[in-house]
Amino acid sequence: MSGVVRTGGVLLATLPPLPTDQALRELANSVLVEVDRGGECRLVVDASKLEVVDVFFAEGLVQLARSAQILGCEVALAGVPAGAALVLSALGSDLAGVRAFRSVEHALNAPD
Amino acid sequence: MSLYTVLMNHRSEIRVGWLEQLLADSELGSIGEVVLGDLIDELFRHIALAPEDTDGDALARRAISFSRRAYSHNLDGRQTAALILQLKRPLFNVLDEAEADSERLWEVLEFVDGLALEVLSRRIEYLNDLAEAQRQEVLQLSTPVVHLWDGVLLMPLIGTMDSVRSAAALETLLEGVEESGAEVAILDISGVPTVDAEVGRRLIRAASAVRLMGAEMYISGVSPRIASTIVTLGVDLSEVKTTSTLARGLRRALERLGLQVMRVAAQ
Repeated sequence: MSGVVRTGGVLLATLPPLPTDQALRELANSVLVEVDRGGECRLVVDASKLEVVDVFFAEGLVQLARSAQILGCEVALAGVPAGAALVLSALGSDLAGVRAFRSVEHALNAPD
Repeated sequence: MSLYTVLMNHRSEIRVGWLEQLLADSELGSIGEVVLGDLIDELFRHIALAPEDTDGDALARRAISFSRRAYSHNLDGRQTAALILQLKRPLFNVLDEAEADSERLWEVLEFVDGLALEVLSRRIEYLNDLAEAQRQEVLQLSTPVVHLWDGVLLMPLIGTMDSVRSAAALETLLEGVEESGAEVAILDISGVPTVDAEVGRRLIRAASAVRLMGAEMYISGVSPRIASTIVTLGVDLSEVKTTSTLARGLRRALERLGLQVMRVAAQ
């Protein structure tokens, strides 16, 4: 299950368990379209279902976060599993400026 | 006549000759007649179970189980192999003039050498398995995750960290954070004498992984020696929160959770 949902002032993007390059690109596109539509912008990327992470995915994720930030969005990652977190940090993915939360719930309840 | 028949027909003769020779040996003699005799009997018991037409090489593979008895008598691999090799002369002695053609001698050599080789290779295999099992045990022993407070995990590391141990430990810590949903993970390295550059980099990677999971990792128990090693190695620990003692690490963790420890007025 993947997709973009707008709840309140938050854009919630869910990553599928095994994201292909194609799927990630499509998700990024829908996110950016939603962001562009205007309004308040807070993007929460739900990574709790992630199972497999590789270097291409890591790059795609960094690009998604960067582009959203350029459009003025505050970006948060939620529920990254241990294995994926280890791979992302081993790849040296530059997710500076991206806040991380233990779960989507934590991300939604976090103070600005 | 097969080698099997020769061995079985002349077993008492071989036993006497073999035992005599072993007892005269400077190294094996001290093992004593009782144990040596028992080992010889055990070997013949295994040979007797083989089919009659088994050739020397195959006979050696069947007889190998006898080595278990040798190890239960506390002989080491070298002693057991030396004991086997001493079988050549008594075996040659019982071969009739007519029987002792080159083919037969060859078979005897194949049997004795083959058995000695099997003894040693089984022993090496056993020791390798043992070493591996102990390594696994140490890996498990060294990585307990302790639930220190609601939302605070502690992993105390003890002993020298190599890259395998540190990788396993950090993986366990991350899984602990994922399962418990902890907000702070404290890695206490009070019991670690020294770290190398590789382990230092791993610590940083683990800290950034923990951050990606929405939690935070502190390293406590950094000794002055490790601190100067880290600086000398050029590992940049500035992104990781470190404290000198575990107590300070815990205090920091409680602060992050918005908790305070207070002395209750004496009753």
